Amino acid sequence: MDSKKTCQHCGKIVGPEAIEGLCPDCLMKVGLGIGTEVSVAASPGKRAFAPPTLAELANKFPQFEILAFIGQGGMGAVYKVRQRQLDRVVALKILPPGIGEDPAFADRFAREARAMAKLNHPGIVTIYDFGQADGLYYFIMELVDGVNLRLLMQNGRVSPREALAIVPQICDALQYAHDKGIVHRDIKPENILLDRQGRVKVADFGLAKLVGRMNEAGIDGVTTDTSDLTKAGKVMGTPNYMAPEQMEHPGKVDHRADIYSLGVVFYQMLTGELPPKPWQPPSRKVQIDVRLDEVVLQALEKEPERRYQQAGEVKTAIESIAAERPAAGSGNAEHFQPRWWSVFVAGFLTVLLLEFGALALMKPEPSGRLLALLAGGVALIIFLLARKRLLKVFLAGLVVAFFLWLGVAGATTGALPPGAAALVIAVTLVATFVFARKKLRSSLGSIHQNLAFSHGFLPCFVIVFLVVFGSSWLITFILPESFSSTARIKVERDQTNIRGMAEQSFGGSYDPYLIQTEFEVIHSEVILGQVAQDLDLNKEWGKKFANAEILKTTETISLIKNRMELRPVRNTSLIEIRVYSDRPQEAALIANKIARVYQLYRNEQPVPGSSSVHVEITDRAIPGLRAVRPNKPLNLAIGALAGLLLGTAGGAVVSGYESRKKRNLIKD
Amino acid sequence: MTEVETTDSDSHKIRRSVFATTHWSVVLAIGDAKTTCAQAALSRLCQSYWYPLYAYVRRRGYIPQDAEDLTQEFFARLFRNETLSGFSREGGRFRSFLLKSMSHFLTDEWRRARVQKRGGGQIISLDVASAECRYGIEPVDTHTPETLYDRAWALVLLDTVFHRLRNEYARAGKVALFEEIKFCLTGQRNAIPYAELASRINQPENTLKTQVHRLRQRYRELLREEVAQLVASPTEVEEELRSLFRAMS
Repeated sequence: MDSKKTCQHCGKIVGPEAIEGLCPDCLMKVGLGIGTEVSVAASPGKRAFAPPTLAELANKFPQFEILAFIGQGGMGAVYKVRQRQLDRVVALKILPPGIGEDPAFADRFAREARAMAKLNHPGIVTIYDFGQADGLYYFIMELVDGVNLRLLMQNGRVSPREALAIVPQICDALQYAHDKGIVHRDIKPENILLDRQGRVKVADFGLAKLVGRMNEAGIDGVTTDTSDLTKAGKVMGTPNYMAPEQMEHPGKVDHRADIYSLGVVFYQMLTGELPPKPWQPPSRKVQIDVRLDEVVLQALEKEPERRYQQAGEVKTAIESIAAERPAAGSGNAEHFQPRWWSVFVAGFLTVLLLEFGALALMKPEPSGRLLALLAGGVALIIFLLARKRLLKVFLAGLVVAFFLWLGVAGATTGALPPGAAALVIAVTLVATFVFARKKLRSSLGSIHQNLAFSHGFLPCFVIVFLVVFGSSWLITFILPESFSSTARIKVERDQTNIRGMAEQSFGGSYDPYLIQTEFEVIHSEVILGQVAQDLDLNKEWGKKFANAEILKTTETISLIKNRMELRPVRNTSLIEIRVYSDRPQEAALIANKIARVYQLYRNEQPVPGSSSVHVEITDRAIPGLRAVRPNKPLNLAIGALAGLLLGTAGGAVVSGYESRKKRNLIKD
Repeated sequence: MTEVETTDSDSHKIRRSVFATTHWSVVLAIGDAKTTCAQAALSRLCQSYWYPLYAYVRRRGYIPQDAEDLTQEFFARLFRNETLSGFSREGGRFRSFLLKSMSHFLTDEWRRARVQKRGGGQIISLDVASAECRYGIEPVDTHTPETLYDRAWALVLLDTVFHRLRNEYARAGKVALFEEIKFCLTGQRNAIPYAELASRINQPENTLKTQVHRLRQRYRELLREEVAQLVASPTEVEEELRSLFRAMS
């Protein structure tokens, strides 16, 4: 076998790897349906469609004076001709000859042409007439004296200013056509023409739908689906610019596919290349406004639902960016949008203040934390359900602040093991960055800009920071300290064996009901009253709290209850007695007293019913060395954080306000 | 499962299993390579597509001996479920999964710096001699191991599909027709000389056009079916096809 054979379709050498003599590349192309498009570049030898010569055309179209051949594309060949009767110069577009073999095609052609002719818009190449001459289908259309976008881009990329001038015009044209229910389906640079005045004209509307199926369907003449002009499995249009849904379900495409293609063209204009598979925002490649990234990104969303739903929206987005660009030498300065930042911060601070209040003013009890937990949970739920963007951002701030607080507070108060706290903080920060990195990057970028440009930022930041941090310092040292001491007791039933002797049960089993009932006892007036009496608290505390009046026992008891906590130690028969006081010695004293009084009580008064209860003091309370409340490190940390954020927000607001005052139109 | 042995050009034979009715998505869903169905599924997949792996290993710089041993060992591990912990993460495509697993495997082996013949017999029958012939004709300079792998994979895919198509026609008793019109599978429709062909095989031109149309249609369907078996979900079929197309050019 001659291994130097070349494939007649693509010109590549067909070697021994060929599949039964067939060129694998062509096989693949046919499999994909790509090779069915008439494409000049792929077939160096054989063209599927040779455009008629000027002489041939003159014969077929006596009503025209054929002036010149303009070009050839996938959809046919275009000539510059003069309509003799009207004495005007127009463009004549001839569709490839093979197209007409299907008798039903004439109907489709007429229908499609009429639809296209209804498009009357300065941004769309107008169709004047259509018909069939001697087997050749043709259109008469507006002649555009200028270039197409492809030529413009051949020199690399288009300047951002030009791109921002071109794209809105395309949007206008698209919006107009979409409103009339016509989808272009083949938006690409070749189809976007620019005349000498810089006006944009979009060409070949609807032609993709008409022409695309001709290469496969029409030839056997038996296809009957006249209603649906598209056929599944056919790849129409240029693959690079096609929306994903256009490739997968060509029949189910709507106007949003055009928006995708527009996004690709926009990207290419800005960067000079097609968007690569790992999508790179244009602003990373060239010096342009970072917000344009968002526009391109949204246009290029894989799912149509997530894209801009109307071409007009794209135009609005672009125009608002264009209008707000301040004049700057590098062209990279951004207008800072303080709104979403400050909302985030406001939410963050609200939660912080809530926690701060809970910590400082209420006892370090579960109820405070519970409240905060509820607030965080509610915020999370509303956040997930929220639709409006600003509300979402506000709640995001709430949620982030809550989780950060949980981590920090948990770590410093020991409520959470340090590992878990660190994990919570780390996860929150990572999640925030992951979800907000786009926004953060643009905002950080603009903050950076504003630091350089605006004078207002730094002083405002410093002032606000000092104020907030300073006040947190002040509050921290004003708040009264409280210390805690803990005594531990063991409460067990004595087991009597059959010989009636008391035996201690060693470890292992414990009786939760017993613990519960004993709780009640320890809390009771009997015990606490005894404690108050023994320590002479009526008088002591009377001096401290009630202007030297002696307190009643009931009042003292309630004061003690406020300051004590009983906690069982899980899975053991131990109870912790914790007492708070502003003096460490007092706390220890009271805790030990309670333990002792209770022990004596139990020794004398056995539990009615069965065996007696044995109380043992396993750990005596010692005076605490560090204050439990207020949590100085936590408060100072909160103050610093709040100061930083408020300062940043304030500074940003100030500089945003300043740069808004300096707003200019685009200058290049 | 029918197997067809055909002679390509004068120099090599490649055994193809034509009914690769297994699904990569099934393997993924099962999640455990050691169950019988997963084993069956995997072995049929691997039996069809081992050559690209072999070519990859060779292009990585191993001599034929070592490449053979490594490939066998890789499959042995695959079937012992040792490499598959990552496959649910890899998800979509059998082709990329296989490549990644092989590349990790080779890194491990390189670290251990030994290639031993392991016992336990051969899981997949590798026709190394023909593989070597085929490898010998791969273009030398322009391909990295990965692109070579992808390209070889694409070729195996096309080959498989082509033979499935032919078998369909054979079962319908239309082998002769297939032989005549098989060249219509490439190139554009307008380029097909219908008139000439019609007179040669003695059929009306319109009937011929229909048949060519059906041939190309069925070919496309089979291609997609075959690819569907190598990916986890139907939405990935087009993407996979396009990647393969890019790999070939």
